[in-house]
Amino acid sequence: MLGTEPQLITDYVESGRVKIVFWPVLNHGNPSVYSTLAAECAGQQDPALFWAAHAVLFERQAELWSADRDYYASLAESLGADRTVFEACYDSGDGLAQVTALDDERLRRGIFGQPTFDVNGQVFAGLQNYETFQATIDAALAQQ
Amino acid sequence: MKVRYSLFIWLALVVTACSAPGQDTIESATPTAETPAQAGASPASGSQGAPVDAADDVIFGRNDDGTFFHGAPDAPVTLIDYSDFL
Repeated sequence: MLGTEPQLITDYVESGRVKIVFWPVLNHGNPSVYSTLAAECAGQQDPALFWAAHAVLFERQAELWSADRDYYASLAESLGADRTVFEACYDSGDGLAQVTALDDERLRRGIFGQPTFDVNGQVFAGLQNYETFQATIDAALAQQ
Repeated sequence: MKVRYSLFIWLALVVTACSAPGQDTIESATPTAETPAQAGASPASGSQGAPVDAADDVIFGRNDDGTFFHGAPDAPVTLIDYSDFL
């Protein structure tokens, strides 16, 4: 999604026609859990920080396999988060409960692979190119 | 004295109008030229449903289910991205 996201934001999100929702999938054990927890804890301080973390985490994907608490706290701090508040969230279990609950819910919805996209109920499995999103979104908008 | 009192009332009205709270469902409005972290967002929790009627009002927020969104809460199309950061 990250490859097509900037264009989708320019063409549809900024004009108020599309809202992008990130739903976490925890398919790779603890590295998935802790990277998602880091985004959650940044987002608890400010949803804008969640999206900033979202972009950086995807960019640094290769580093996340061995990333630890300090790595994520430093990352969050570099984005503007309060490090102490972030660490409290990371350690508390509340954030962990939130991300695992969302992962449980996506399993209940029958979403098993990632990425999976849902555009107003139309589901696509796997990476999609911009043109696919464009056609699907335009069709959905035409139905409004 | 009456003039002073009128001025005070006028100022109070202006201050009240300027400081009226926004929709509490909006987390942060971020001009496109800024990075999200630079936007100075509010810390309150939020949910879907706040009307947004201008391009500059693209926002970052949180839905009632706990997921985070980017865009107008009442956008006609919702794109859910089920993804793993890995």
